Amino acid sequence: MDAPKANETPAGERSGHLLVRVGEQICAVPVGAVRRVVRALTVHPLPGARAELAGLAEFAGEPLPVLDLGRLIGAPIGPHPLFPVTVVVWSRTADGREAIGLAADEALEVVDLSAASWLPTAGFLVGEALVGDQVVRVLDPDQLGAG
Amino acid sequence: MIEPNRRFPDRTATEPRLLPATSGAVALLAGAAAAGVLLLALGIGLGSGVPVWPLAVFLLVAAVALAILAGRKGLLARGAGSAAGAAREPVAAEQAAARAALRELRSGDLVTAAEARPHLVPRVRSAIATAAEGLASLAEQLREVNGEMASSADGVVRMTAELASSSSELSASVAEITAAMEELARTASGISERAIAQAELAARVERRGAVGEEALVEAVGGVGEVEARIAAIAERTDALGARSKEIYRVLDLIAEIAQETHVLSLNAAIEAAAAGPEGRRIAVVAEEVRRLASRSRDSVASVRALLDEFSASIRGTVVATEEGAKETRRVLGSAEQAAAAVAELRAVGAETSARARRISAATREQDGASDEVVATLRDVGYVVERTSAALSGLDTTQRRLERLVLGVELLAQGLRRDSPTSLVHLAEGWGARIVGETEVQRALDDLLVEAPYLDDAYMADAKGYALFLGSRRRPVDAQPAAGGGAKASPEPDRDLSARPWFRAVVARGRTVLTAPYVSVNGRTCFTVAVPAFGPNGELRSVFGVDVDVHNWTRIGAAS
Repeated sequence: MDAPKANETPAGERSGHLLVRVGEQICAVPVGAVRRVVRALTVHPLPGARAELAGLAEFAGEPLPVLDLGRLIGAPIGPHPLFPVTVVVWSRTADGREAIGLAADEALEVVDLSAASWLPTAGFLVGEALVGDQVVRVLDPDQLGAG
Repeated sequence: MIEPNRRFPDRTATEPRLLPATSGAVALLAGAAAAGVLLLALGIGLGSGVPVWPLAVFLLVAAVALAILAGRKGLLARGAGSAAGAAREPVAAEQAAARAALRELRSGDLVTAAEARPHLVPRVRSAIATAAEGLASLAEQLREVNGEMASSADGVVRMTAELASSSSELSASVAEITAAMEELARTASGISERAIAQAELAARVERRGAVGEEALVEAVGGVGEVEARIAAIAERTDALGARSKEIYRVLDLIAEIAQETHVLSLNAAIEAAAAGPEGRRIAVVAEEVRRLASRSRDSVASVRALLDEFSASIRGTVVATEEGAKETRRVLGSAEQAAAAVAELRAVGAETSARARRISAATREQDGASDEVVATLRDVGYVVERTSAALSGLDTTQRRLERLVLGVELLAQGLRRDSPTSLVHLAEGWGARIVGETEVQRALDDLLVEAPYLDDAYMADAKGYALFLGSRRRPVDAQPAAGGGAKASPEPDRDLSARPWFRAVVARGRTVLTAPYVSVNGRTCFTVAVPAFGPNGELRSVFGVDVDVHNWTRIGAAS
């Protein structure tokens, strides 16, 4: 793969997003930022780390920080997931990119979302979109790093 | 019937001859001998201890009388030879006196015969007196023995009566027992019938019991089958449960594979997106794969749902079969109880049959015993019959004995003795007393009181007309007639001239004792009649008494 393209999509254009569920909430991650979706990795907790950091897992021979997506977006803890996943995303840093894992309850599908309804917000949540009758919150993985 | 006063040819002997005097003595001796033989025969026949010494006395008397007469002959011969002419007158007087005395002896008047007479040689008188004493003693002994015989006869009468009453009691008992035996036989046959009915009932119960037992055995067998089936079902259910678990695992595996596939499809889609337009074909494939995974997931879900349903129904089946097993065991318990009850019933039935058989056997035994009793009763009946026959024979013997007693008594009474047991002596005494009485009727009545064995007493004139009558039967004659009004008692016949005893008294001129006869009230009597003479020897009156034989032999014999 070449260097990733910009994750930001101009308004009006549709781009693919991976939908994941955490609790009752569904988040959308731009597919350009997704490296891989895997079965939930074993996470080793780091004492003294912030709450959103679930711990460290191993991925492709490298340590992978895994963030608890539920805590991250403030979704209440749902029923025990049947097939939890870890979404490994590229997050651009100052000097390149780093892989971060997002612990989610379920990986749903890849859909095209239009940026029209995105709400300009700060942080990693860049807006909300409507898929069917379901409101999804769009993530910007680049905002996840530097934590 | 022995009549002591029978007529003998009255010979007036001109010279002392042995024959007339001895003929009277011989007659007496013959009578005494007959009595003695009778006594012996009776004594031997009845086994009573008849003393033999009366016979010895009679032999002694006979010897004495013969000696006397032989001596007398010798004396007369000597007297006739030596002082024939000179002593002829006094000898004739002596002879006349001796003849008179011997006549009295011959007639049975021992009292008069032994009296002192003028011209009677003392030696002759003493000999005659001795003979009279001997005969009197003999008569007394006869009477005593007769009294004993009368008692024996009474004893026989009592014994006969007892035997007769025992016989009739026995007959009554036999009849009672026979009736009881018949009753028993009826009861026994009734019991036997009921026992047989019971046995039949028991047999039916037995058969029903057997049928019931078979049914129970079948039921038990059926229950056993059901239990086996339930066990088989439980096994299958377990097997199914195990399979279900396997299927669940397989489903889990498939679900996991589906999930993996799904994630794989997502990754493929992501890569396709990164590949730009060339990635579109991969994106399509990825999408197909995703759908496939999704369908797999759905299939797994529905299969799981089906399996859950299946498991639930299996669990339901297991519960149901367990309930069924419990119910079956309960039914089996009831069946076993019923089987036990049936077995008990059969046992009772068997016992009832055994009892019925025992009752039948006992009834048959009883029949046998009854037959024995009936046979014994028949034997008893024969004995009773023979006893009755013997009793009637005994009755005849008793009557003969009574006649014998009477005969011997009259024989003894034929001698007049100076004794209260000599009726002739008593009657002559009464006659002499009453002739001189002024109140003859009352004297007769007093006499009847004094001598309870007398039925009647009368005083008749020389023509036979009863001047005075005393009768023990008079109150009987005075009973009023049934018509109501008192009827005058029929006048007793006062003309006694035709009576045999009156005629005998007139003919013989001395006391007469009749033969026994049956009076109007059925009692056996005899009459003693005593003549009374005037100064010229003409018959003036006759005094008579009727003696009740039965009362005399018992009262008179005791005195």
